[in-house]
Order: sequence, then structure tokens, then C-alpha cells
Amino acid sequence: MPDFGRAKHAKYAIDLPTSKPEYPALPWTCADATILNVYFEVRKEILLDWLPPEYGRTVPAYCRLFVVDNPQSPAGSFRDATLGLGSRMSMMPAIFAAASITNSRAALAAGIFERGYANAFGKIEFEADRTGAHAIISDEKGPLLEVTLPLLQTIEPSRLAYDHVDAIKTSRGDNGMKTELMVTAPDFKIEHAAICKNARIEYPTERPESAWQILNNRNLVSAQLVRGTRTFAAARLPG
Amino acid sequence: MKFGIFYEHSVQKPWTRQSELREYEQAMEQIVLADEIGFDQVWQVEHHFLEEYSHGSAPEVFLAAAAARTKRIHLGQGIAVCLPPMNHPARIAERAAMLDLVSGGRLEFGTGRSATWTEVGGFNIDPDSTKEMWDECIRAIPKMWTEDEFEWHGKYFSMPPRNVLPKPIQDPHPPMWVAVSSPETAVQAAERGIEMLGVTLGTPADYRRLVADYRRIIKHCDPVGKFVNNQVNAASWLYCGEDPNEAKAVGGAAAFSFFQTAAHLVGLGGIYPSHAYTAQANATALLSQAEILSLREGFPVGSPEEIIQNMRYWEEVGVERVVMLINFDQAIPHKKVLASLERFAKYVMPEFTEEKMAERAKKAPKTDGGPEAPPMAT
Repeated sequence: MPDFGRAKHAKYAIDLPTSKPEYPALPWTCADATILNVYFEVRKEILLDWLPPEYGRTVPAYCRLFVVDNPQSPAGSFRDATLGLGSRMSMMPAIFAAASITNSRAALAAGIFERGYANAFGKIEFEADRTGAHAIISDEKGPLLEVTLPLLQTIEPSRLAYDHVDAIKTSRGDNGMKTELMVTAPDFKIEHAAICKNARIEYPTERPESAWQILNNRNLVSAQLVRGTRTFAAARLPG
Repeated sequence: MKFGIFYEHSVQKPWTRQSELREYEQAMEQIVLADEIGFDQVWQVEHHFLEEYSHGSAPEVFLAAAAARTKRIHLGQGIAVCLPPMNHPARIAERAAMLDLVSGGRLEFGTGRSATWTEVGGFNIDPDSTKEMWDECIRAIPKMWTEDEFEWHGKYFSMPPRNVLPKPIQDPHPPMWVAVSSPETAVQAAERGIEMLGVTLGTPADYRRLVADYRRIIKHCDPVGKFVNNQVNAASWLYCGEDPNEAKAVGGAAAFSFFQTAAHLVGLGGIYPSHAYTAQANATALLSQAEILSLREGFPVGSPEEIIQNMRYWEEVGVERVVMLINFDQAIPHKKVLASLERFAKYVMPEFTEEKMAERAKKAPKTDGGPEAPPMAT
């Protein structure tokens, strides 16, 4: 039998804002978006500590880190970054969001109230051109992670596709706060794609309390930079 | 049509020091029986690091033990991973030749390149290069077997003149196969004149196009070995039960456990976009639980009568042999596995002799697609 996750949903509970901020209705179509996407291996026991029990770990255990630059959306330009856990649910590939950050108050509100991610505010520095890409992800306490794609090679967009991402959403129920698992649909139409064979992940400052560093890179698998249209949509309950 | 069995050597948790030994010992007992009752090939995979799914990393060692305990059954390296950073081609050739000798010429030499990140990444091999590495190896190895002074200066390995020893007993060398799970590899097998070792646990419908392409192209092949091998093995799952209900309960559940474990492996297409692996970087095609438990046509899990019907789909596709996984660790009790093999040999095999198949071919109405398939088993 596969090893199933052992993280209680409550691990992912967040403090909700006292009032729901205003933001444009979802879904948001984000044209000319860019994703920096990296797969890397992590230690299996650590991944299991962060993975909810609905999911089984893969062999080997891995994470998917993706940073999205959305220059246009109904809420204006924004960026978001997610650290996803590679896994299987009902035998099918799945990614579970263990940590997520955005630099937009509107995207944060939409993420918290309708998706489960992004659910933390922070700073995302992002640069990309035809030759390379670089991003630094920071939360309100400072830098967490830096990822560099020094040299890009163009590939056929059809070689790539990204799975949907699941997350735990916190909401107010009749008996107080509740958490529930939510799933999104695959959200990116890829128009241009490039791979990088010498990507790096670095941890600029020690943040041992943060999931971004606890689930740290043990072996980088692959890295891509893709451009296309993203649909930032509400999540739904599984099934 | 002929029949074989194959082993992943799955070992489920919790593990003890005895878990793997028990798996190997039971497999050996099954192989001895299979040899006695008419199965003509046994294959063992070469997989690395695939916990629970496969603890079969050294097929030559296991097959050498099987050779000592059997008389007729052919021993398939299914496969030797032909990636120089993992296995130097000269070591592959040496070990295979030695197995051919100690088995009295019963080696079936399967080749391949791995399909999981777990394995390829585990040896720090660039996935983009594995197809080329495999191609270089399969051109070099037959020369190692047949030349007294072998020298090679290729892209992925080179060596000065040496006599690679021992030489195999099969003359000029053992039959060569390649593991096929995609249409591209079926074509590449045919172009190189080597046999197609289907490794997808699929149905006849899944294999139809692969076999048709293979047969068409091999007629014009440029063989990498000293002769052309035009044969196709299909892979499937076998449980020949006492009755339909028992078969579905026991065999279906075991097959489901196998597929569930397989689903937790990380295929290369899943997280490493590469021209060398054609699957996209998201969900790979997996049999769903519903599909497995409904036991699609051609899936040989059932009563002997049902399996005869199912095997006729394979006959219609035109494979030479169906090679079957017969257990997933202890999912089926060992005694039931032995009984399943015996029932299969007693009731199913006699329906697929050359004479019986020729009779059916004569009676069948001629169509473009060959003999008409039997009605779907339920």
C-alpha cells in the first residue's frame, strides 16, 4: 500500500480577515502570464508530515514550485508563488499546496476565500527574458527562497502540461472555523515553453520554521519557463 | 500462441528481512511448475529503487537460479537496462552470455532504458539521452558476442580492442528484444529487427496498432544483430480462477493493488519534459479502479472458459505470446497462484495449439482485420 500523508487539515488553518475584502469576481483571465516551474525531490518523511491523508506519496517524493507573473488581470498585475507537494489521489497525479504567497491584496483575498491558495502576503521578485529567469520569494519576515534558471532552451509547448492544484481552505462555519479540501482545474494554456538544465534553488536566509525551507530541495529534477494564458478561478470541493 | 509469466518481484510493506526472500522463493516454485506444465518463457524485470512495486534489480542472478531448477522454460532478461552510466555494455554482454551458457541456451535477451525518474535520476542519467544510449548499446552488444576483438568509440561509451568473454552458446547470439510501451518504440524495434516485448499491461485493443506497425516495418528492417527476430510478446495479468466470481474477487483485487502501487511511481514524462519520453508532464494514462475491476476484454482474469474467450482477442491481434504477471506480492495466496497456473495449462493452453488456431482461422470469415473477434466476455 502507498504511504499516505499524515498532516491534519488543521495544520493548514489560517486566521481569516475579520471582513471579506472587495475583489473582482473570479475567474480572472490573465493574458501574457509567465510561469517559472521547478520540480525537485524532497525527503519522504518530511513530505508525509505536510501531506493530508487523502493523498499518497510518490516514489521518490517530490515538490513542484511555481512562481507566476500575471501582468494583466481584472485585479491588475500580480504575482503568486506556490510550493506544491507531488502526490497521488485515487491513483491519479495531484499537487497539494503546502505554502503559497502573493503580492496582491486582491489575489490574497480571492485565494483565501475561494481557492485555499494563495493564502499569505509577501513579496515576489521576478525577472524573465528569452535567455533566463530568476525569482526571489519573500514573506513578511524576509526572503525564503531564490530560484534561478540561467539558460533556457525552447521546446514544443505540447511537451508540457501542468496538473491541477489542491489546497485546504479555511472558512467560517456554523460552529466556528472549519477547514476543507478544495481542488482547482488545470489553469494554464501554454503558448511558449522553454526548459533549463542547470537551474538552482537557494535559501538566502535561514528560515527553519517555514515550509518553504523545511521542504527543501534534495535533488533538482527539471525546470521550465512557460508563457501563456492563466485562468485564476475558484476552487471546488473534490468529487 | 504461447504463454509466459513474468516477475516484478513486488514486496509490500511492512518489510522484514524475510520479505524479499519469501517473494523470490515463491516465485521460484511457480517457475518450476510453469516449466513442467508448458509455459515457455519466464521474464524478470530490471528495476531500481521502486519500493514495493519492484524489488527485482538483478535479473541475471535470479534467472541463473531459475536455470538450475528448470529444463525447458526460456529465461528472459526483461530487461537489461542499456544505459552505460548504469550498466556498462560490456558487463551486460558478459552477464547475459554467462546466463545463456549456464541455462543451456535458454536466454531471451531483453533490452530497454527505464521509464521512471526514480531510476534514471537515481543514477544521474540525463533522460534526454536514454534513447540514444539504448540504441548505441544494442548495436554494440551483438558485436561483443560475436567478435574476438571488439572495439568501440561511440557517443556514450568507448573501449579499446578487447575480447568480451564468455561468448553465448546460442549461435550466433541470443534473441534480442526491446521493451515496448509506446508506438514509437514499436517502430524502433521493427526498424532494428528485434523482437517486441510488450510491457504495457493492456488489452488487445491497446496493442493492435503497435503490432500492426511492427509487422509492417520489420519487413524492411536493418537488423542490429546477426538475424531478424519477428516476434511480439504482449503483457497482461493472469488469474485463472475456480469460477467467474472467485476469479474476479481474487485476481481483480490483486490486479488493483498492483496498479495502485504502479500509480505512485514517477514516470519520466510526469516531471521531466523530454523529447525522449513522449508522455506529457501531467497525468499519465492509468487504468482506473473501475476499469480494472470491470476486467476489460482480453484481460485474462476469470474462469478457464472466460480466459479462453479473452485470449482469442490476443489471437486476433496476432501476438506470438502473452506473458503474464501472476501475483502482486502476497495479494493472491501462493497455493492459489499455483492452482491458477495449473488450471490455465490444463484448460486454456490446449485451445491455442497451432492446429486449433489454424482451424479457427480457416473457419473465420475473411476481413481486412483478420479473423473476427469473438463476442466480448462478461
